Amino acid sequence: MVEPISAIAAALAVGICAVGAGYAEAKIGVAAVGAMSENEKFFGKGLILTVLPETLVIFGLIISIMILNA
Amino acid sequence: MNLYPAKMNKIEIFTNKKNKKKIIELLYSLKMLHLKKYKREIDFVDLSTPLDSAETSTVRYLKLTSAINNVLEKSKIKENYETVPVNTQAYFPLIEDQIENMKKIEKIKEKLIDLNNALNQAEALKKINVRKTNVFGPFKNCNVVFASSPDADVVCKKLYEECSAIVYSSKKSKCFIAVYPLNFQKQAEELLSKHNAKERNLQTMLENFSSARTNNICRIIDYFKKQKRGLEKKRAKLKQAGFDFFSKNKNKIFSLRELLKQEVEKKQSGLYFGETRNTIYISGWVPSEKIKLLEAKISTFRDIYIEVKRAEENAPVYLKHDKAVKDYDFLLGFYELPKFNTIDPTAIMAFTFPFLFGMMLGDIGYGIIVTSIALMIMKMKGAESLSKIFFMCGLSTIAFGFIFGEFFGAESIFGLMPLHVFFHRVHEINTLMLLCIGTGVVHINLGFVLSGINHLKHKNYMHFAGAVAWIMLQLSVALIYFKQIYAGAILALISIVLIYKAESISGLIEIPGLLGNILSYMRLMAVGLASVYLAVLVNEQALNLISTGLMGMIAGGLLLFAGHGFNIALGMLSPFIHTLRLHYVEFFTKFYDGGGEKYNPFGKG
Repeated sequence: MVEPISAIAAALAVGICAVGAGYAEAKIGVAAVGAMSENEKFFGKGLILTVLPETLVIFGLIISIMILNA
Repeated sequence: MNLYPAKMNKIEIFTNKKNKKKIIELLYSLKMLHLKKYKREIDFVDLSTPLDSAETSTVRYLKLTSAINNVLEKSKIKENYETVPVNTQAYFPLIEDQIENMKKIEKIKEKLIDLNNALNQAEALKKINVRKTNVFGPFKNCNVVFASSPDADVVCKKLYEECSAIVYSSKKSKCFIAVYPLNFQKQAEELLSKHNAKERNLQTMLENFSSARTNNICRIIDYFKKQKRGLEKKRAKLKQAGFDFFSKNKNKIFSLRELLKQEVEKKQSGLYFGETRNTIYISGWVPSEKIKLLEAKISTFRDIYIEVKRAEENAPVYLKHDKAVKDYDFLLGFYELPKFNTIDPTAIMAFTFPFLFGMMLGDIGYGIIVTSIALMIMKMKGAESLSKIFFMCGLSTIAFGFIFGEFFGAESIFGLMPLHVFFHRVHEINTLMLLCIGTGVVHINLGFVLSGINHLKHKNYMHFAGAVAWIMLQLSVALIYFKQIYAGAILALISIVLIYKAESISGLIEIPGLLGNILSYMRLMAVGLASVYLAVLVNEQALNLISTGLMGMIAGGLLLFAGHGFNIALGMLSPFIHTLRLHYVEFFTKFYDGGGEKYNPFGKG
């Protein structure tokens, strides 16, 4: 059984990372869509830059799995 | 399997100016040469000019395209047609008539706007009980104002009391007319501006009214209404005639557009050539497999000199692939084409893309649905490549579904046939993590191998060593993990030095990034598990509902349908984007050199 405090810590690890990634992606996404409306060729570059912060959440997920397994 | 774009040759053609038209016709019909724009590199060679009457063709093409767009926008005529022979000289006058009609329609539209304005003003006058236009004078010692104000009542009352004005107004309307003596002008103007009264231009209004040739407001309104009806009828007739003409002659019109487009392309192509007094100079790129044929065809001309060279780095990129792989070009199109003579990963993506997609979604039921949807949209125009990619992704999802033993999130097919689970991803998260990281290591190292191959081909030995060093660095970490500390440390040191030599500081900065890249493959697990949990949740809730009775069964059925429908929609979008990202960010950054220009041969279509 997971201790309650560990469960909260695991949730916070993913949750806070997700908020951070979401904030970053929102800002980048706006700029990327702006660039794309000027020139559709920016789709690839825009997509890459937009999804870059996503990895943050995955780091959070790893940490939370580590906390739960500890 | 082609790991590189097709080989290209550069060709330079020098010929007599007399041949210009003929050679353009030939090159256009062959559709092999990607023209290179001449940029006055040589002093005595000027830029060539378009062929005669290029301007007429361009104007005709633009006129026709804008007319077609105008009609397509306003009618239900669709842009599918059969190509039929059509004579430009004979047929274009008919199109010009239609363009004239469109201009007439625009003019009527403008007239209607003016007419509506005048009509509104006349109706406003009728509302404040003005019967005749005589109220506007002309007066010698009085000024007339026709205005509207949010608080018309107050203004009218004050104008009457303070400026001795005669006022026409009505409680229903915000408009009013005031006739006041000239010696009250200052007070009246102040009053009007204080209450934000908007004055109307009497002169223009009366001029508009004068066309009705009466001073009776009711008759003026009738006259305008009649005029409006007449114009609207005329407009509708012209519009209908235009639509009829376009829908009847659709094939001819669209064929003419195609013909004019080709004419313009041919005639304007002169702008790509160089020219001296008697000679023209054409240069461009041709795929090596077609160079012999092109040479043979061109050498039939008199006074011609051809030089074939090896293509340089700025040559256009021609991605040539087998049928099975070709559709994955579509994914490169989202990004950037590879530069000429650098690695083209399409063939590899044709395997890795469905693999990673299937690993994420991994469910027999979802796989069947994704495959079916792909089959359904395969015939849709513009969705051919995407649907084929989804078809393969669907098959891979089914295969992984068998490995994970999942059918719509359950471990049996409709509760009847239990599935053999080789690997239970929900219960064996740690193993799944390792599996994802393992996949990432293989995928990323495949990128390093490709980078090595590319540098070796270009005899860039230092960069080749750099690519090997990245692989060695990972090996050193493995050695340290397995307690071979000294061997691992030495290997790591060698790799870091090699990386520094090959890529300088930026390479060293990227070392921690490699860990991030590998861990990024954990999304294979994260996206997959999210989809499984959602499916399991839907199944559990639906089963609970179904056990409650008849109404529960209906509600449960609906929940199953909506829940899994939502999950599949998410399951098609999310793994697609994440797989694309894994390729673009993690895989491509290891070897890909983008920014190539697409091979676009000079010719029809």
